[in-house]
Amino acid sequence: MRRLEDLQNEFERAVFLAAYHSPRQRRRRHWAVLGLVAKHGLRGLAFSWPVYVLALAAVYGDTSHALAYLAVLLLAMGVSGMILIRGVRDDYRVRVQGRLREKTGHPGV
Amino acid sequence: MFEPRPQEPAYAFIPDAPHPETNRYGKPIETVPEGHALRGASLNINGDSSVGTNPNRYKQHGFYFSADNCIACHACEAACSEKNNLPAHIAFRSVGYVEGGSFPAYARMNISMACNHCDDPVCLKGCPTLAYTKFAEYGAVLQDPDICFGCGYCTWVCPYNAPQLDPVAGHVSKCNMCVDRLEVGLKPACAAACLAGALDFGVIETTHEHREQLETRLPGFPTPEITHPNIRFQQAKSLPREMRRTDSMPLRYVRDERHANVYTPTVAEDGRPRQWNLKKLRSREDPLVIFTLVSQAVVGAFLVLFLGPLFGVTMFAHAAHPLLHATLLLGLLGIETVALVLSTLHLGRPHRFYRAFNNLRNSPVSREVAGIAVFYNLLGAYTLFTAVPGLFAWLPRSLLELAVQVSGWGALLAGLAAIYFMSRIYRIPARPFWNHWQVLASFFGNVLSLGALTAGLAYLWAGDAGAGLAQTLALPVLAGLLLEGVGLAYHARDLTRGGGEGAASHYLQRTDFGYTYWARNAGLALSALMALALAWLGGGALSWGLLALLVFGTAIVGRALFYVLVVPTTMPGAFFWRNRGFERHARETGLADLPQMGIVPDAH
Amino acid sequence: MLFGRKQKNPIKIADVGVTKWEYTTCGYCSTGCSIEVGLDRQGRAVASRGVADADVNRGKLCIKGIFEHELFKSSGRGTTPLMRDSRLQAFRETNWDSALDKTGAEIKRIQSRYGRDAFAIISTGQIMTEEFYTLGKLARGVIGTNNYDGNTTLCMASSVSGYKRSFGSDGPPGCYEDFEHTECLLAIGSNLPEQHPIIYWRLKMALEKRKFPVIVVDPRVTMFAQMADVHLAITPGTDLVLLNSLAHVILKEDLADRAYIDAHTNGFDEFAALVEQYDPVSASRVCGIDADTIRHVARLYAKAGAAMTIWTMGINQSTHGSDGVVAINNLNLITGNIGKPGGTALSITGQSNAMGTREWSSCSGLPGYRYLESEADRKEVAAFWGIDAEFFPKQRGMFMTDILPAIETGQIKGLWLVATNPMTSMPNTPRIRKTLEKLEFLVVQDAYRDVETNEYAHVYLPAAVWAEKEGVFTNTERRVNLVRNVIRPPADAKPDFWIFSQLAKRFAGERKLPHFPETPEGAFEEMKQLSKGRMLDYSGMSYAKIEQQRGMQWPCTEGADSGTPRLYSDGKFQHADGKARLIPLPFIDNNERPDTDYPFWLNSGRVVEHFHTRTRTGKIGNLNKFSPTPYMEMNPDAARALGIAHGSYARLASRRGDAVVMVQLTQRVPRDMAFIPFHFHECVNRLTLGLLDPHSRQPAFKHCAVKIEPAPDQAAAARINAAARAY
Repeated sequence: MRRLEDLQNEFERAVFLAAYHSPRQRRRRHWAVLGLVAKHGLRGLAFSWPVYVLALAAVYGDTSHALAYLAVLLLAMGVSGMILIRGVRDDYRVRVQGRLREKTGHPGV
Repeated sequence: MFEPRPQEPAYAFIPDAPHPETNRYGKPIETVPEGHALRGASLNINGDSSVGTNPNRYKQHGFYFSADNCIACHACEAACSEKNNLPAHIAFRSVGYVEGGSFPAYARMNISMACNHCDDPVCLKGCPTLAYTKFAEYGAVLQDPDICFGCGYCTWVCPYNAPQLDPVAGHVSKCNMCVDRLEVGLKPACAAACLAGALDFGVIETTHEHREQLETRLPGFPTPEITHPNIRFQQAKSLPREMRRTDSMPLRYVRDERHANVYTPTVAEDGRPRQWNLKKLRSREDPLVIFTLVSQAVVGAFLVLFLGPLFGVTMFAHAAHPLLHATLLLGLLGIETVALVLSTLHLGRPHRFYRAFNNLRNSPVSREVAGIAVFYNLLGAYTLFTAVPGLFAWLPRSLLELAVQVSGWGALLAGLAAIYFMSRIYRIPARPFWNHWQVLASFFGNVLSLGALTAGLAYLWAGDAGAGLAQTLALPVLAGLLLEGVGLAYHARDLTRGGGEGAASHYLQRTDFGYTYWARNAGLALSALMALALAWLGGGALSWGLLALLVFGTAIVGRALFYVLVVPTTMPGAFFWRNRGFERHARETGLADLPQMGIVPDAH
Repeated sequence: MLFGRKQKNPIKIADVGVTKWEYTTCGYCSTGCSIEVGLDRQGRAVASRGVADADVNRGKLCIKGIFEHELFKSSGRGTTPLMRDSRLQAFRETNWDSALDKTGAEIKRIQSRYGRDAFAIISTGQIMTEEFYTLGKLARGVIGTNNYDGNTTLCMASSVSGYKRSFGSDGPPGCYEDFEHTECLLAIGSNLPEQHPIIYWRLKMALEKRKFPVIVVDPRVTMFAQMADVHLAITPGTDLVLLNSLAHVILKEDLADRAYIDAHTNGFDEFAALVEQYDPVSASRVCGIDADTIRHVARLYAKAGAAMTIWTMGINQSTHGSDGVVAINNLNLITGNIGKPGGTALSITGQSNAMGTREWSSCSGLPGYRYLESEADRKEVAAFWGIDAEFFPKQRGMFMTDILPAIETGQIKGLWLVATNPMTSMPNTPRIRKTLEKLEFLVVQDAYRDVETNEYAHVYLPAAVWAEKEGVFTNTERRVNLVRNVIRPPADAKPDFWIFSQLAKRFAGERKLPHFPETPEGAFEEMKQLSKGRMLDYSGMSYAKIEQQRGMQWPCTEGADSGTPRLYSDGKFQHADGKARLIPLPFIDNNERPDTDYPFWLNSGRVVEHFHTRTRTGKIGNLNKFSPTPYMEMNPDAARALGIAHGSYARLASRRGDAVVMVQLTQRVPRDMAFIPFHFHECVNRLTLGLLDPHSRQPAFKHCAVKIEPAPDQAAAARINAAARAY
């Protein structure tokens, strides 16, 4: 599948862009973003779930240090969020932007 | 396919010269035999699926460098940077030099070095993301910057400083042997650009026109035994007995009595004064200082907490102090999280952290990350089961008890394994200061001392522990400190005896950081004495707190020294370029702020 | 797959997307390499490569050439003309008409009030030959000032003077191909690997085919000296003594080519009488090279079937630079080594088109190697340009290094600088500052707005650089080579050719103007006509032929297919009697030698990654990073005695001023010498004296005395060092 940046000819670029901006392609890109967020979010969660134990402890368990637990939790969520955003942005740039999406819709192919 | 210039001259093409079946280390020069499955595949350069026409495509190629001829004109560096479109702060190929003699009997030997596409590439083995591949085509070792997440471990293990970590882009890249040029029979850009008949290229173990030697050693070049690099030298001119470096490394190279071409690296004691240099303790590796210390403390604290009841410290059982037990566990989980976050952010591209597991087979980094990940998960599980039991009220008691035991023992074993792998990361032949069993001793020493201190802090300060606790816990603290101390003592002795970059590191330890080094040693000794006193006489929260302060402070300084003092076996630099001392000076004085200095201003 | 199964990525190798390659010749040094500049789809210059079939460089480029395409986007370019009434005000942006009107008006005002010569012009060696020719037409034929010279006085004037005295005309007689035929090479004050790496490559290739002895004369142990068979570590400022002594040995041992001397030279007797005094033992006491070595080298040189000498700044930048060149010519004349393959006295030129200005700029005379002192020449050029021959002065005016003192004492009131930066390149920077302050009007024409001399300018004219315009350069071996216009100049910068033609129009009212062709090619046609039948014959050349042959060496007579590799092959020289002159050269030691107060020689020179005053190379990271800040080479034994550490800052002081540099300790320099690359502003030239050669008026940049001490406050020294330069 050709990318926009590979096309040199003005005519080819115009044809490509016409398809790229169509509602169908835009919809597919939105689904792709959702897929990427899910992928990176789940991946991140798989690696960092123990930190949410701190949240549980603040709620269900010993509440005397709840503030400390929440602080660490927020820090971890901040970092995870940053990693999520960067990961999604990176993948979007490499796999979605400037390409026409196939029917399968998965951003990994 | 790469297009040669119209009427490309003969010097730019790789000559077809006779070569033996195997290289001098016994490895066949033909990378894969006829009919092998890997033959005939396209290298897929920039998506081009064509296959090159080079008849020697499946032979190991390498550089041929005549140190007799190099004039340090930078043409090879420039050609490489231009072809690979590199910014000023990154260079795949660098020219440095060693010099010796006395005016006018002065000799300067220049060395141009990029990647040697080694037979045994330590970069490939060490990379946790498996970003490196040794191709059957030309034997080229190529790195993929898109897979790399910028940990920089390959830059540590390579003896020749081939991989380049770009702090701006957040990944590593390196010499790619100009495989696109090789596919059409052209030499790499650097070899084609050489203006003095110094740098050449061809199938390995071929002697080039007008040359007679196929040396593997050169003054300033690390021993080839580490990686079996695919580079051969000619160095026939007589050189002085001792060759010195112009960059800031305190090393010199002294000619071996028995072999004229072998120059042994030795310390160059230049009369520098003893200093503290506390500011220079900070470096790019600060997150690793924290990560290693914190992980060791957490594993140690868990060890002490979990095994405590087995050794008679009944107050560590969950039932004895459920609240404190849970709090300590949650605290451990919390600080380990912070440490992991720091360690992840240390990467050039933290959002690719999950790739660290790709090379469990070979990379100690992968194994350590896996170990820590398993430990963290199991610690999390154990904490969940013990600290938030309310969630599991619906489970039968025995099942919960089994889960607690399994996760506990699992976490303990995983944690200890992780620390072991952590120490293996630093057993790098190219970094002699680290390549000693002292790393293992220090790490496990810290596990014991820092761990016991942490557990003790929680119970002595927040709880109502009896006097006996300090006495009991002082024992593992003392054991840890002794283990570390013995390791360091042997380390100092072995470094001095071993010579080379290790001795140079030790020299820096005794001079640039001299006072800091002795302060650290004094700290260790003092804390061991204090621990002994506590073990004998017992103590309370205050004395325990003081001991903790002393031990933690010493540990931080010690770990920082560990990272900062390493003198790698990398190539000698020039006066400005590839001179760490000048780079640091440029950053301190603001010279680095101009983009055309080629120094990233804050590569902290 | 959502959870990512990896497939093998393609190997990514940088591809900047070149769609077209355009032919040019390098604009840095005078080796004259042919470079192709690669343009991408949007017409941006993104790559450079050597032209594979060019004879000069055969596809190779040095570090500066490899990154030359980065020039077009380097920082600090002039984008619009700037003007101000006094240098104490800020510049205000203006348009070309206003700037040129003001310039024209000021020139006319100064000339009418103080005389025609009260306005001086100093040009360069780095613009196109057609532009030199046009500037010469403007300067001599329109503005009419006799104080018109180029910065080649700082670099090649001694060679020009020496060639004129010995052979009757300027014009290096040899070529790079001579390396393939020579049997002995003597290199004096030349550091080919650092200054002309491609010429070094040509030499190295010749040596690999057939080894011959190489003798290098240099006070430092350069890489060239290391690669040589014999290195003569000469005492600074004594080249003439060595050369005279070599001649002494050759004559004494009867190794001279008597047949050649009798047939092609004059003045042998006086020459022999003078040289008699320079026996090796007496000479060795002055020049520091022992008598046996002198004899050995002399015999080697004379007995070789063909022997050649090359030299650059080590000979030229000296108080006996012209004599040094004449001495080399003497040496070659008495051994019959002129005009034959492998036998020549080849001056290696500095700037990319210093030859062009020597040939066509009319600085020292009239275009095409003509002389103001010759009535016939004046009449011929005046007729060609369509002006009155009486408008020309009857002899040449001041050299650049005399123009500046004339400004200092008020004889000259206005100055126009074209593509040169005397704030950094002239010796004794403090004196130059005071000089430039005195000008009533200074106009600076340069590609870079941040050129340091702009500090004193009243008008700044932004010019195009290198391949932003079209024209020819001539290199060291007389090869005329083409630079195609590859890209437009930025914003409102204009080619120097256009600027000269436009300024001429401002004088239309005053006098009858010569015709100024619209295009460089038109000027080239004029040059061809003016050169026909003369030594520097261009008449057989054309842009197309030059590009096709990758440069043609003059003389190339009309109808000839190619140029001529060597001059004087027939033994006929340019003096009236057709013979060369052997000139006796007594050595006068006119140098500021080290003494107890100032115990070190200060030597200056160049490094391969920089060119001149770094207005270009200082902006390109991949060049600048190898020498990003001023430094000094000093001997560790001397440094130890003074307590100076490697990598620290030292303060140097001379009878002119002081400077702060970073210290590099190396045994490559003698114990009583410090070497500083001259490229950096506010550095070595704050210390230099620059005594002038009597014939060529070229300054002795490599000889003066300094004292050295560790900078007392290292942090302050670092700050001073960083603050002295903007880039």
